[in-house]
Amino acid sequence: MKVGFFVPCYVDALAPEAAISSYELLRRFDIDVEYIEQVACCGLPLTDMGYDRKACAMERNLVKHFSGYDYVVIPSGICTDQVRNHLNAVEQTPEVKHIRETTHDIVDFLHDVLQVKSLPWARFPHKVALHNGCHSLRSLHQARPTELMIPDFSKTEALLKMVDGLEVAYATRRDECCGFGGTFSVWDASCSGQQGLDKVSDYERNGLKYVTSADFSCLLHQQCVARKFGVDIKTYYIAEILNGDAV
Amino acid sequence: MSKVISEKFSRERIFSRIRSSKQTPVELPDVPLYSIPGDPVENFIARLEGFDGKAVRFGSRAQALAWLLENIDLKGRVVYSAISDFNGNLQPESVADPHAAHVIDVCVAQGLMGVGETGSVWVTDESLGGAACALFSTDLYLLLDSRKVVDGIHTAYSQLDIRKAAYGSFFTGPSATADIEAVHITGAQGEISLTVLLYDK
Amino acid sequence: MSQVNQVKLGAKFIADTPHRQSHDRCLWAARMRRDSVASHIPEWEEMRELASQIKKHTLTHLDEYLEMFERNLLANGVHVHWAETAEEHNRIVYEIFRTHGVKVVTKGKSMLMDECGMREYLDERGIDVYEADLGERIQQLDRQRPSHIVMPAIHKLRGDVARLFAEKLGSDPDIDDPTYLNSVMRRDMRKNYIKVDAGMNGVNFGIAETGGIVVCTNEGNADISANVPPLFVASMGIEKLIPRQSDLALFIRLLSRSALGLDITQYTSHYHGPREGQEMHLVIVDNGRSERLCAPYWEVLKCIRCGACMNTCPVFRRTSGLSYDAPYMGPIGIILEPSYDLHRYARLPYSCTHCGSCGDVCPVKMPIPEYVFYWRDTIVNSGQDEMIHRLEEDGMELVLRSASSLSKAEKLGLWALRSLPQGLLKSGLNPWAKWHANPEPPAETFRQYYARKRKEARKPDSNSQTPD
Repeated sequence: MKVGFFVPCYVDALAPEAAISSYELLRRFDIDVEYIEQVACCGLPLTDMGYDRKACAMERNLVKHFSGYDYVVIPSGICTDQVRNHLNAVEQTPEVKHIRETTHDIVDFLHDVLQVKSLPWARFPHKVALHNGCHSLRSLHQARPTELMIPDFSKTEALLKMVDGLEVAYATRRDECCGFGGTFSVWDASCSGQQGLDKVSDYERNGLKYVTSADFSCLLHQQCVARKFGVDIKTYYIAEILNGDAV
Repeated sequence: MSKVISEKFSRERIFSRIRSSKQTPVELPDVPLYSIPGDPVENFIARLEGFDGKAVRFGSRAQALAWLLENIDLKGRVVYSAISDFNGNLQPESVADPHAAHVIDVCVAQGLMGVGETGSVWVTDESLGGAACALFSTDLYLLLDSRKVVDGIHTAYSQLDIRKAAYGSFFTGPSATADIEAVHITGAQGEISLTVLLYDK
Repeated sequence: MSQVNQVKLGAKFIADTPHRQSHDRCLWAARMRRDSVASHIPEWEEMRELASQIKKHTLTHLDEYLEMFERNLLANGVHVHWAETAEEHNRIVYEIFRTHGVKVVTKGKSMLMDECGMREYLDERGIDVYEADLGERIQQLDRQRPSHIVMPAIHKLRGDVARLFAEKLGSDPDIDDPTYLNSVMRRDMRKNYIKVDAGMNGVNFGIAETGGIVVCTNEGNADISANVPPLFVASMGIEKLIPRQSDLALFIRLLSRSALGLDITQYTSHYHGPREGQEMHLVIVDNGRSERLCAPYWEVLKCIRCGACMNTCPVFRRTSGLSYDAPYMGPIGIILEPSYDLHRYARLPYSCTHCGSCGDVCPVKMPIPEYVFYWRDTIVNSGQDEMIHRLEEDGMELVLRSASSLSKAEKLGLWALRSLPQGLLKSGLNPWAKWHANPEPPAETFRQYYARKRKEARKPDSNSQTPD
């Protein structure tokens, strides 16, 4: 199995540990993982603001370098959603379709493709708040959004339960958006910030000190808001916990 | 005779734009007659109470009417009855103009169907002896044959002929509002209390 | 008209902690009640799908159903009017009132009449229109538009209402108990009902096969307005139609549960013609709807105005409806208003975090999140994106750079790596910095880590080649 590993720009610059844990976690399963160095951005900020057509060159570059892999794995929910669901500016060739269908974030890949049943190396004896980011939840369908009256499931929670000693918990407003929203956090910093503050205050009220998510962007936002307002939380990208790197 | 009133071909222009739409036609699906589990009458009582209505159950209609006589204070209150086997103290002629119905304190009328799923009672302008009488009243009493309580909304609509009444409504508990800070208040502008007298025969 | 800046207007509400917290709490509670009642209905998701199909079916056969509806309305003794525009709607209503010598009108809630600016039109012509719904009346007295399509005054605190009623209705300014305020309203409206000449209502559903309209309300005001005066006028958008009585069951079951988390509204009322001695008119209004029917975002016409999308929207709950400065607000507003005036409402589709919750609560499955992308794309491609370019001054470099120079660039690889994190890291004028501490720059990027690992991996290889 040949896997292309794509590290989105913001992860590389701000949280390489998330990418490192993801990479090392994949390597544990005896997979041929190749880092796709030539691609740094999936085009999300462009599509997000309505510049979908201008994202074409960027998408072409992405397609060029993503081709030839059985799977592409991205340690980021929003970027995975972008590739899977919004790679619309380029012509939809069979190659593009293959990429869209075989791109996964780390949770999907472990749960659906590798069908991982245990993570014997992982131990984190703490109560951890699981924040299912909106894209992971409603676009990648990694868990049941509370809005939908369908049978309950959570791939993220299933993986976390394989971690020795870990207890999954949730904020009271379990899957309310934390307000990052990519460019939204710059477009409307007040609303985004207030949402973030409400979210971290929710953890605080529930005595939750550790937070994890399959969306690093949400965690970055929450961690920075928490630090600004003196709320004591520590965030871990999910692969850090699953790989046993969180301490 | 009612008629169509339309200015300067507005109707034609609206229709021609509608017809120029090229959206792919969608089939009309059948709506299943979803049923509601549980005893319809028990559900009805529980739901009605959830909407701040009261339900009192009687063995017979006669018992229900006797209870009414005992429990409604006729003195000093304007009582309007829209049923023939209970007398109020307001003549129907005096509310021929519905504006006049604002004096009514108590209204007694017949409910035509109950819905277990929601605690609703189907009434019409005819069964209410003029809808304004019920809406303007402070205390509304609706008699309802418990055999006329159906399980849910789907069944209700499958049995009713809503077209028959100029005004037909599902009344569910007394009027209410939550427009100020979402604080629920019973008794907005319609009746302030609703009591349903359920009788088995 | 000038462009609505929802972000700026919303920031004021965000800064007003008591109002914001109350607003957010009330609407979130409605969302939670909605979840709770929906969870007790095993067929909930199936019903949403069916409701969506029925709406789509009706809209793709709208001419046939409108004709059937009209035929049945006439047979039921209802006068039917067709209005192409808001202005025409108002003119028709005024003409009915003028010829009947109407002076006093009480009206139930109607988003359509708000959309048409009808009350102002009639006011100017000497007709007293009393909003009869408590929330609408509060907003009328305060000269504000409704801030929510189901709870028009939900952005206000009880103290605001107490002050307003004291000033306008002469109530006790020191009593802010909602029960008392409600009784003030009840007493005041009774005075109007006694002299009312005509009643008005909006319409939740029109039923083609029966020629009737359905109005779902809680306070009783709509039913009084329809049943007391000798003249009843209702207005309805062409998209409110459903084919059959049996379809109604589905929509009644979905509407109030989605809106307020209640099984049904207190009054679910069906009008099939005038009562004896009454005259009933229905004004069927287009006002841009038939154009929307031809557009890519035509499924906005499925909307049943329940407000569930507003209750769940994290942005709406914190900024309130008035910040959208439009008849429709929240998720439905940001995808609907640009179709009325693209320039004026060009910023609205950006008031969204893409969380997607609105699409999942919508009882008729409107693809709201998809339409947000549609509108952003349309705004950019029609040159209405000046406000995004202007963001440069506010520090939003990432978007600007990507928009203006990136498409020209052949070497894309490292652009985002350079610009995005810098946009985030830069403090000072950057609005991010007001709410966020700076992220800690890492010691080693993944790129560096990967290079180091590869180097390390090669070392043992070269060792093994060395004879022992």
